[in-house]
Amino acid sequence: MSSFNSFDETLSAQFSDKGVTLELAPFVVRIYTDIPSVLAGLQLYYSEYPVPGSSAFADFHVSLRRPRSAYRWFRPQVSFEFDGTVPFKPLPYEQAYPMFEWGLNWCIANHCHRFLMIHAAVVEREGCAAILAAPPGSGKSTLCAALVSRGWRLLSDELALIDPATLRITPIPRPIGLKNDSIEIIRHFNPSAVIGPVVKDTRKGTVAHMKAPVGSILRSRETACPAWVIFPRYERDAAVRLRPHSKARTVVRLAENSFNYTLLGAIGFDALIGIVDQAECYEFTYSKLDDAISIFADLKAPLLCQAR
Amino acid sequence: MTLRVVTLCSAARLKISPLWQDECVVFDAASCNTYAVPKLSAQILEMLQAEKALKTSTILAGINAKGDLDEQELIRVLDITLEEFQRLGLIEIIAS
Amino acid sequence: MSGPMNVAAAKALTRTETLIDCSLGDWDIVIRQCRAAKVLAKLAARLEDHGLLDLIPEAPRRHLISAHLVARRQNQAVEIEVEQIRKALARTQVPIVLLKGAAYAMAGLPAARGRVFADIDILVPRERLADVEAALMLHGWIGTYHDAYDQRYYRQWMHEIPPMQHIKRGTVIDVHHAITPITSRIRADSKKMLAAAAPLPGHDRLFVLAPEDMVLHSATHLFLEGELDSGFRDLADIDTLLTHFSAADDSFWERLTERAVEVGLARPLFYAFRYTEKILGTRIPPRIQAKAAVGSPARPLLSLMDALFLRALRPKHSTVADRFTGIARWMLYVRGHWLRMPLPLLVYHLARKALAVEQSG
Repeated sequence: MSSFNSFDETLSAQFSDKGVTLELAPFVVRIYTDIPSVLAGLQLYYSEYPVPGSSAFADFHVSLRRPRSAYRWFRPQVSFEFDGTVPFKPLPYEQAYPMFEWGLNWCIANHCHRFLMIHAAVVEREGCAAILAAPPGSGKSTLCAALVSRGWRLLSDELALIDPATLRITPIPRPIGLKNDSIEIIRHFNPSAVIGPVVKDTRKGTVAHMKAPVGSILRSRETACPAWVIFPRYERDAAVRLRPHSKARTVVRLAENSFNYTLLGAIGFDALIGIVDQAECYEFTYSKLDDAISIFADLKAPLLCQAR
Repeated sequence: MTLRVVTLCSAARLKISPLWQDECVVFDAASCNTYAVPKLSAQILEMLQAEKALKTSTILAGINAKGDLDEQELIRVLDITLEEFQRLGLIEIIAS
Repeated sequence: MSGPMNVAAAKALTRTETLIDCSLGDWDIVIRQCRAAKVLAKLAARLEDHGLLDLIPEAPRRHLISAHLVARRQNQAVEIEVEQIRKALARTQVPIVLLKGAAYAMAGLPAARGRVFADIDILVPRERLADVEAALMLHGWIGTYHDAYDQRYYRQWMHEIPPMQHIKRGTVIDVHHAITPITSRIRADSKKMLAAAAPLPGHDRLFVLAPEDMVLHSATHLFLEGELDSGFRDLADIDTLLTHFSAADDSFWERLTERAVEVGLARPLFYAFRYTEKILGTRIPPRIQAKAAVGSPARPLLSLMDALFLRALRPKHSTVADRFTGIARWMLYVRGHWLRMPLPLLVYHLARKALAVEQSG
């Protein structure tokens, strides 16, 4: 398997027709696009990911193109397609790269019910995973970016993929989405982080992506055991606080943060009970990233996870 | 306490989690609604799962088996709990 | 004259055992076509029946399991929803005939396995329509399509009530009073079909159509209406129904062809036989095909219908479309409307739809 690490005009035409196939373990994605910002983004963030041959099985065939409507002369747009269907309205052309990442999240969240999927970041050390579950806007991605900048492995910044039978978490390391102030905060916190172009005026505000650490990418087939379930919340000027949280209420909150809990029914319930039973559950408030890193460094893994 | 006969809703298919720190999670497989409930509430539901219909006096006797809880307080809590369960569509009060 | 068309999804459903030799590249096509055709969960069920689900590669299997879980949940939801509808209409004492997917699910038919459900369709006597609508509204269903034009379209011109949506659950119910719309050029004898409806054991006042009528209704819906986005799936449903009912009863084929003539649906049955055989390789006894030929259109028209249906009934996916597929779908869409409404109305309706699309695009 070769690596995707060269980009030029000829490739652009090729990718528009035949698509570029990338392995984003556990998935394979085929991307059809001729939009320069998307191609540049793929090169920036995904050059270490394996490129399977074109006869591979692709989980998702996605395309990003300028839509063919009269409107396009007035204001250029980009449209996301999933295998011939159009799940969202077009976005302004400048937002093409974020649209690729959001589109891919949508594909996974809607088609991977083999897993219990929770809206959470997942980081890991020594085989033990911390599930950071929180609604959008709570600073979870910032915290995730900070942790992986200080040695934690990135499993995901958005989607915890849990195998309901084994309870282990399958990684899907991808660029971490940063918003508004977080972008500068992380640039400052980790000057060697690879952060791509900033895109303004999206529905999430100003966004940019931070490349996943190479170590996380290379270990993308290593699952992890859930050891901690943490509900993080950024609160300006607050003292850092880690408080044990009721396990019963943790189950309810995880269910609320899940994409497919209702779909999985009793399977999802049993999985959450299993996770919460073996993991330590906390609420976490922070304002300074350094404090947060210290607290996380001191987390003790539950016995069950240490054995694995 | 008003004497009532209580039963689980025919549509409800309940699962109850283990007890953690005096709380349980109740799951209704029909609707996938999931609730965190105190130990007492879980006990009541477990009793209803075991028996098709129960008189409130029987439930009271069951949860106060050891006789070491305040009877009046227990009645009050039971009334509130049954009302809540009814509102959530988990139980039906079939007779008074 | 035998075997399914060379469409990956068709072969996968009807020659499931051959999938064991499928390469990963082939699986890519199979999964995508089946997903587009809404038969992915159905394929999962077929693989399970053949004991093959655990033997296929992990990557495609994940998608099959995912689709299976969605279908399973929807099946449960349909049962709950039908019960809610039954309770809501209990006071009216109206007999309710379940149609299509809801009927397959409640009757426990193989056609329900792996099926994805959208709306629930029911059939009630025409004179009770107002009572039914009122009872549903009382129990939380509200009318959709509040636009004055759409209301007129449904009520005055099509003599139907618009679909209703439940305010809390979001589920949709479509209440019919006839098998084919009143304005339709091909009219089924709804009274006869209603009279033959069988009660659903264990469910008060719920009925399903007799097996022959179930097939005829499915065929009518597919071949006389213009919406073919689910065409391949609907064809697969007909194939499953035919296989199931004929296996249970030798005289089923005869009864089906005779019934079609009796209720005025010989044309859709002819198409159903023709295209299930050509596309899915469904085995229909030759003498039955001969009998059903009475429903055939004239040769020239049949050639045109072949050109249209053999394209439009494929999965709606780029891997099986040619440059005429879009036109074929459009022509059948127009034909569907033409069959259902008088010409002046059709022109006005199409123009309006075209304008609406342009504005939202």
